[in-house]
Amino acid sequence: MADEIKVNQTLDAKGMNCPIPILKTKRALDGMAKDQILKVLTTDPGSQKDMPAWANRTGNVILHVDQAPGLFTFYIQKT
Amino acid sequence: MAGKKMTIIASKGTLDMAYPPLILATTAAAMDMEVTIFFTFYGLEIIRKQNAEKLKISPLGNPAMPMPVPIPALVAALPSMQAIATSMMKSMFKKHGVASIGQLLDLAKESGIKLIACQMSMDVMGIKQEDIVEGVEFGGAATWMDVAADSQVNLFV
Repeated sequence: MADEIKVNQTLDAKGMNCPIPILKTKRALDGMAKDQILKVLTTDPGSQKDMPAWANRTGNVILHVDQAPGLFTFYIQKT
Repeated sequence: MAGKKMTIIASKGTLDMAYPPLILATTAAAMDMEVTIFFTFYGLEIIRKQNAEKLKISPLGNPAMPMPVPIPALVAALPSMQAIATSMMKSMFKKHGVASIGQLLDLAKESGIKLIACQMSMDVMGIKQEDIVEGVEFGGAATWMDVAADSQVNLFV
């Protein structure tokens, strides 16, 4: 499914820990237009739960999550 | 969603206890909440000019402090132990990609978080307004209470 998603911008938050991936995601989306898609790469295991919690609170939509060992890829659509 | 508010009272000035208020505040701001941090007593150390990166942690009276080898309390009281514990903790944070207190404080300001310093604690501890970093307001208990009464989340750290 991830191959079909048209990504507008990519944020590399690998190696960063709580809460920096969330803060950077928020900042990146702030600079994007409605409906655009941000791809976020993280290695922080906490981001598995934090990213959906953040999306739930802000109303942005996580379209898809890829999980590889130690690497999480989120596809987030700005609303 | 939008319109939610949070306040945090930051009352401690050790390296470890400076983290929770700043992490929660910046996260809440990223979740579109309006955030206020009220710095009181030792919490003022976090917002003293050029002090955010100088906060320390002591192994004294802290049996949970992770040390490479178990340290008896009497050894923990030796003069260099605080410096050792502090640099150990800082390198642990760095190794795990955790931002420093100074970085989090900058992020807090950039996120529009309102920072209030407790004027009474400043008077008691001899801290002047010019000793505090830019962008901080000064107030007392009523200032915090006014915001807290309208907030969904209020924490004392």
